[in-house]
Amino acid sequence: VNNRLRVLRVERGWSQTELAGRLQVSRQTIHAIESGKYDPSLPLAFAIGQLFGQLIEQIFTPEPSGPGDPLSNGG
Amino acid sequence: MLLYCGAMPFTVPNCAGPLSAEAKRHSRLALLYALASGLLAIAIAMLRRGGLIPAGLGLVAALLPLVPLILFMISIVRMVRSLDELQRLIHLEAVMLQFGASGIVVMGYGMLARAGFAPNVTFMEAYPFLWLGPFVFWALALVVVRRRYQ
Repeated sequence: VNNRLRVLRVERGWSQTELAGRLQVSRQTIHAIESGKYDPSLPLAFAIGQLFGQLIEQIFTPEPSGPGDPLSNGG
Repeated sequence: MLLYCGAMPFTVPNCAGPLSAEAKRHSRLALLYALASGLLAIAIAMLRRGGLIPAGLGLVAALLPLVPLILFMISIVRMVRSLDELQRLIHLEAVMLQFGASGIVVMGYGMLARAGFAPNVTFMEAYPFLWLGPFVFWALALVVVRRRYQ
Protein backbone atom coordinates (compact mmCIF):
# COMPACT_ATOMS: atom_id res chain seq x y z
CA VAL A 1 0.00 0.00 0.00
CA ASN A 2 1.34 3.41 -0.98
CA ASN A 3 0.61 6.42 1.19
CA ARG A 4 0.93 10.20 1.32
CA LEU A 5 1.64 10.36 5.03
CA ARG A 6 5.05 12.00 4.67
CA VAL A 7 3.65 14.66 2.31
CA LEU A 8 0.75 15.45 4.63
CA ARG A 9 3.01 15.59 7.66
CA VAL A 10 5.56 17.87 6.02
CA GLU A 11 2.75 20.13 4.75
CA ARG A 12 1.78 20.74 8.35
CA GLY A 13 5.37 21.18 9.47
CA TRP A 14 5.22 18.30 11.89
CA SER A 15 8.14 16.08 12.79
CA GLN A 16 7.72 12.31 12.91
CA THR A 17 7.88 12.49 16.69
CA GLU A 18 5.13 15.10 16.79
CA LEU A 19 2.88 13.06 14.50
CA ALA A 20 3.61 9.94 16.55
CA GLY A 21 2.54 11.80 19.68
CA ARG A 22 -0.70 12.94 18.06
CA LEU A 23 -1.49 9.38 16.97
CA GLN A 24 -0.18 7.82 20.21
CA VAL A 25 2.23 5.49 18.43
CA SER A 26 6.01 5.29 18.38
CA ARG A 27 8.13 7.38 16.02
CA GLN A 28 9.39 4.13 14.52
CA THR A 29 5.83 3.26 13.51
CA ILE A 30 5.45 6.58 11.67
CA HIS A 31 8.79 6.07 9.96
CA ALA A 32 7.87 2.49 8.97
CA ILE A 33 4.52 3.61 7.51
CA GLU A 34 6.07 6.53 5.61
CA SER A 35 8.78 4.34 4.15
CA GLY A 36 6.27 1.68 3.14
CA LYS A 37 7.72 -0.98 5.40
CA TYR A 38 4.57 -1.31 7.43
CA ASP A 39 0.90 -0.98 6.58
CA PRO A 40 -1.15 0.35 9.50
CA SER A 41 -4.17 -1.41 10.91
CA LEU A 42 -7.61 -0.13 9.94
CA PRO A 43 -8.14 1.70 13.28
CA LEU A 44 -4.79 3.48 12.91
CA ALA A 45 -5.52 4.30 9.27
CA PHE A 46 -8.86 5.80 10.35
CA ALA A 47 -7.07 7.79 13.07
CA ILE A 48 -4.60 9.10 10.46
CA GLY A 49 -7.46 10.04 8.14
CA GLN A 50 -9.28 11.80 10.95
CA LEU A 51 -6.16 13.69 12.01
CA PHE A 52 -5.55 15.01 8.50
CA GLY A 53 -9.25 15.47 7.72
CA GLN A 54 -9.14 13.13 4.75
CA LEU A 55 -10.63 9.80 3.77
CA ILE A 56 -8.45 6.72 4.11
CA GLU A 57 -8.39 6.21 0.33
CA GLN A 58 -7.11 9.76 -0.11
CA ILE A 59 -4.07 8.87 1.98
CA PHE A 60 -3.58 5.17 1.28
CA THR A 61 -3.74 3.73 -2.20
CA PRO A 62 -3.25 0.10 -3.19
CA GLU A 63 -0.20 -0.79 -5.22
CA PRO A 64 -0.88 -1.86 -8.82
CA SER A 65 -2.10 -5.45 -8.67
CA GLY A 66 0.05 -8.17 -10.15
CA PRO A 67 -0.69 -11.63 -11.55
CA GLY A 68 -1.58 -13.77 -8.51
CA ASP A 69 -3.42 -10.95 -6.81
CA PRO A 70 -6.92 -12.25 -6.03
CA LEU A 71 -8.34 -8.79 -6.63
CA SER A 72 -6.89 -8.51 -10.10
CA ASN A 73 -8.95 -9.36 -13.15
CA GLY A 74 -6.11 -11.14 -14.85
CA GLY A 75 -6.64 -14.59 -13.32
CA MET B 1 24.98 -3.41 25.76
CA LEU B 2 23.51 -5.36 22.84
CA LEU B 3 21.63 -7.59 25.25
CA TYR B 4 20.47 -4.67 27.32
CA CYS B 5 19.30 -2.74 24.27
CA GLY B 6 17.50 -5.78 22.97
CA ALA B 7 15.92 -7.03 26.14
CA MET B 8 15.03 -3.72 27.68
CA PRO B 9 14.89 -1.32 24.76
CA PHE B 10 12.00 0.36 26.51
CA THR B 11 14.33 1.79 29.14
CA VAL B 12 17.09 2.92 26.80
CA PRO B 13 15.85 5.81 24.64
CA ASN B 14 18.67 5.58 22.12
CA CYS B 15 18.21 1.87 21.51
CA ALA B 16 14.73 1.97 20.04
CA GLY B 17 11.81 4.14 19.15
CA PRO B 18 10.25 6.13 21.94
CA LEU B 19 7.77 4.04 23.86
CA SER B 20 4.99 5.05 26.15
CA ALA B 21 5.64 5.86 29.77
CA GLU B 22 3.41 2.92 30.68
CA ALA B 23 5.55 0.50 28.66
CA LYS B 24 8.68 1.86 30.30
CA ARG B 25 7.15 1.48 33.74
CA HIS B 26 6.18 -2.15 33.09
CA SER B 27 9.60 -2.99 31.67
CA ARG B 28 11.33 -1.51 34.71
CA LEU B 29 9.02 -3.50 36.97
CA ALA B 30 9.78 -6.66 34.97
CA LEU B 31 13.50 -6.08 35.42
CA LEU B 32 12.98 -5.51 39.13
CA TYR B 33 10.92 -8.70 39.55
CA ALA B 34 13.48 -10.75 37.60
CA LEU B 35 16.25 -9.48 39.86
CA ALA B 36 14.12 -10.13 42.95
CA SER B 37 13.45 -13.68 41.83
CA GLY B 38 17.15 -14.35 41.22
CA LEU B 39 18.21 -12.84 44.53
CA LEU B 40 15.49 -14.75 46.37
CA ALA B 41 16.60 -18.03 44.78
CA ILE B 42 20.22 -17.36 45.79
CA ALA B 43 19.21 -16.38 49.33
CA ILE B 44 17.05 -19.49 49.76
CA ALA B 45 19.83 -21.72 48.40
CA MET B 46 22.25 -20.22 50.95
CA LEU B 47 19.76 -20.68 53.79
CA ARG B 48 19.16 -24.28 52.74
CA ARG B 49 22.89 -24.94 52.63
CA GLY B 50 23.18 -23.54 56.15
CA GLY B 51 20.29 -25.71 57.32
CA LEU B 52 18.31 -22.62 58.31
CA ILE B 53 15.04 -23.54 56.60
CA PRO B 54 12.60 -25.41 58.88
CA ALA B 55 11.56 -28.80 57.53
CA GLY B 56 7.92 -27.80 57.22
CA LEU B 57 8.75 -24.78 55.05
CA GLY B 58 11.02 -26.57 52.58
CA LEU B 59 8.42 -26.76 49.82
CA VAL B 60 7.28 -23.17 50.30
CA ALA B 61 10.87 -21.93 50.32
CA ALA B 62 11.68 -23.87 47.15
CA LEU B 63 8.76 -22.31 45.28
CA LEU B 64 9.03 -18.81 46.77
CA PRO B 65 11.13 -17.36 43.88
CA LEU B 66 8.21 -18.18 41.59
CA VAL B 67 6.16 -15.36 43.14
CA PRO B 68 8.29 -12.49 41.72
CA LEU B 69 8.69 -14.58 38.56
CA ILE B 70 4.93 -14.65 38.06
CA LEU B 71 4.88 -10.88 38.63
CA PHE B 72 7.69 -10.63 36.07
CA MET B 73 5.63 -12.49 33.47
CA ILE B 74 2.59 -10.30 34.21
CA SER B 75 4.73 -7.17 33.77
CA ILE B 76 6.07 -8.46 30.45
CA VAL B 77 2.54 -9.12 29.18
CA ARG B 78 1.39 -5.68 30.34
CA MET B 79 4.41 -4.06 28.75
CA VAL B 80 3.71 -5.72 25.39
CA ARG B 81 0.02 -4.80 25.63
CA SER B 82 0.90 -1.16 26.17
CA LEU B 83 2.98 -1.04 22.99
CA ASP B 84 1.63 0.27 19.71
CA GLU B 85 0.69 -2.11 16.90
CA LEU B 86 4.07 -2.12 15.10
CA GLN B 87 6.00 -2.66 18.33
CA ARG B 88 3.71 -5.59 19.17
CA LEU B 89 4.32 -7.05 15.71
CA ILE B 90 8.07 -6.65 16.24
CA HIS B 91 7.86 -8.48 19.56
CA LEU B 92 5.73 -11.23 18.02
CA GLU B 93 8.25 -11.77 15.23
CA ALA B 94 11.11 -11.68 17.75
CA VAL B 95 9.42 -14.28 19.96
CA MET B 96 8.86 -16.49 16.90
CA LEU B 97 12.55 -16.20 16.01
CA GLN B 98 13.50 -16.84 19.62
CA PHE B 99 11.30 -19.92 19.75
CA GLY B 100 12.92 -21.33 16.63
CA ALA B 101 16.46 -20.46 17.69
CA SER B 102 15.99 -21.94 21.18
CA GLY B 103 14.58 -25.13 19.70
CA ILE B 104 17.43 -25.46 17.21
CA VAL B 105 20.08 -24.94 19.91
CA VAL B 106 18.46 -27.41 22.34
CA MET B 107 17.85 -30.00 19.61
CA GLY B 108 21.33 -29.46 18.18
CA TYR B 109 22.99 -29.92 21.54
CA GLY B 110 20.91 -33.02 22.23
CA MET B 111 21.91 -34.54 18.89
CA LEU B 112 25.59 -33.75 19.51
CA ALA B 113 25.42 -35.20 23.03
CA ARG B 114 23.69 -38.33 21.78
CA ALA B 115 26.41 -38.77 19.15
CA GLY B 116 29.12 -38.27 21.76
CA PHE B 117 30.38 -34.91 20.46
CA ALA B 118 29.19 -32.96 23.50
CA PRO B 119 29.02 -33.84 27.20
CA ASN B 120 25.78 -35.11 28.64
CA VAL B 121 24.40 -32.61 31.11
CA THR B 122 21.81 -33.14 33.78
CA PHE B 123 18.62 -31.10 33.89
CA MET B 124 19.92 -29.21 36.93
CA GLU B 125 23.08 -28.24 35.03
CA ALA B 126 21.15 -27.21 31.95
CA TYR B 127 18.16 -25.46 33.39
CA PRO B 128 19.76 -22.02 34.05
CA PHE B 129 20.63 -21.96 30.34
CA LEU B 130 17.19 -23.23 29.34
CA TRP B 131 15.70 -20.40 31.35
CA LEU B 132 18.05 -17.60 30.33
CA GLY B 133 18.61 -18.75 26.75
CA PRO B 134 15.20 -17.74 25.42
CA PHE B 135 15.59 -14.24 26.88
CA VAL B 136 19.02 -13.85 25.25
CA PHE B 137 17.58 -15.04 21.93
CA TRP B 138 14.59 -12.74 22.38
CA ALA B 139 16.92 -9.79 22.93
CA LEU B 140 19.00 -10.65 19.86
CA ALA B 141 15.88 -11.29 17.77
CA LEU B 142 14.46 -7.89 18.78
CA VAL B 143 17.59 -6.20 17.45
CA VAL B 144 17.33 -8.14 14.18
CA VAL B 145 13.58 -7.63 13.67
CA ARG B 146 13.76 -3.90 14.53
CA ARG B 147 16.24 -3.41 11.70
CA ARG B 148 13.61 -4.57 9.21
CA TYR B 149 11.33 -1.68 10.11
CA GLN B 150 13.98 1.05 10.34
